[in-house]
Amino acid sequence: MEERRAVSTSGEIGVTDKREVDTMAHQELRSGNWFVPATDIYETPEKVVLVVDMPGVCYDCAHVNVVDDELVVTGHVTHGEDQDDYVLYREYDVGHYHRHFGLPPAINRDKIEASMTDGVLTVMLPKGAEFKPRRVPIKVGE
Amino acid sequence: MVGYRRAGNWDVESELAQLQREMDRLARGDAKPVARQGNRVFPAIIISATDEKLVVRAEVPGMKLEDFELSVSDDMLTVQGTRSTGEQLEGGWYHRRERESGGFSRAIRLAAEVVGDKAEATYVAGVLTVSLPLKKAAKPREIPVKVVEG
Repeated sequence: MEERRAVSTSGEIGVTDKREVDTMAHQELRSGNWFVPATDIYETPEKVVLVVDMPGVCYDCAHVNVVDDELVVTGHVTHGEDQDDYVLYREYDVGHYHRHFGLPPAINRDKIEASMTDGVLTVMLPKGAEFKPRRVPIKVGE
Repeated sequence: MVGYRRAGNWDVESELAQLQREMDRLARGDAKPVARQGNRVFPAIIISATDEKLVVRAEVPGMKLEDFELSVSDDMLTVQGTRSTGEQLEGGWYHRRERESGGFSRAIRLAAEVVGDKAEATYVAGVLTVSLPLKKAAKPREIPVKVVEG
């Protein structure tokens, strides 16, 4: 994992084009537009947290699956465009979201939790007890 | 679609894969090609219309409706706010940061005059939707055609 680019915390926000999912590599995806959701990943001593932007996806249309050593996030867009409207001007496309994340061995797979608010999915990945920082007791030498 | 911008290290395979994806998408016939218009001002918007109103949409996840400052004049909608994605890091450190954060202010000139007092905004699942009722003069109307005998 790498720091992809610095994000300014102040000043004007930029527009990032949505990245399309390579549907040749992911043929399980059905028809429609598929995008790779923008994601922040941070780690604390206790856990790893994914914060995934999926605008237009309500909480019951988001799915998080653990498949082998991958965490797979899928979101079906339900809000974002009315079919009866006539589009006059378009700067972005509306579509579903799909992304795979490698799971490091330190993650306790049974304790993964996810929540969704305002189009943002948060996935908590707690580390297994043996991977958390711990104090090593020092014995008194003879 | 296929350019010569990186002469010398032209990646045939990835260009062909891209072409294949475009062809697949056209063949399926159900998806619009990715179309992008306009300048790069946040937030990106879609403007659509019905007979009664204009609708301006923007995908700005992780906000609250009250975080947006919206104002409407006769034919101008202004959207302002600040999006902060630097969450409670809880003493942690980032591996990856892709989510945009910062302040934004965008003035959108509308294609028709609207009734600013009757504008309504909703914010559902990270999508801001502003409905702007058209002024009477701007609504489409049918002009009866008389049949002239003769």
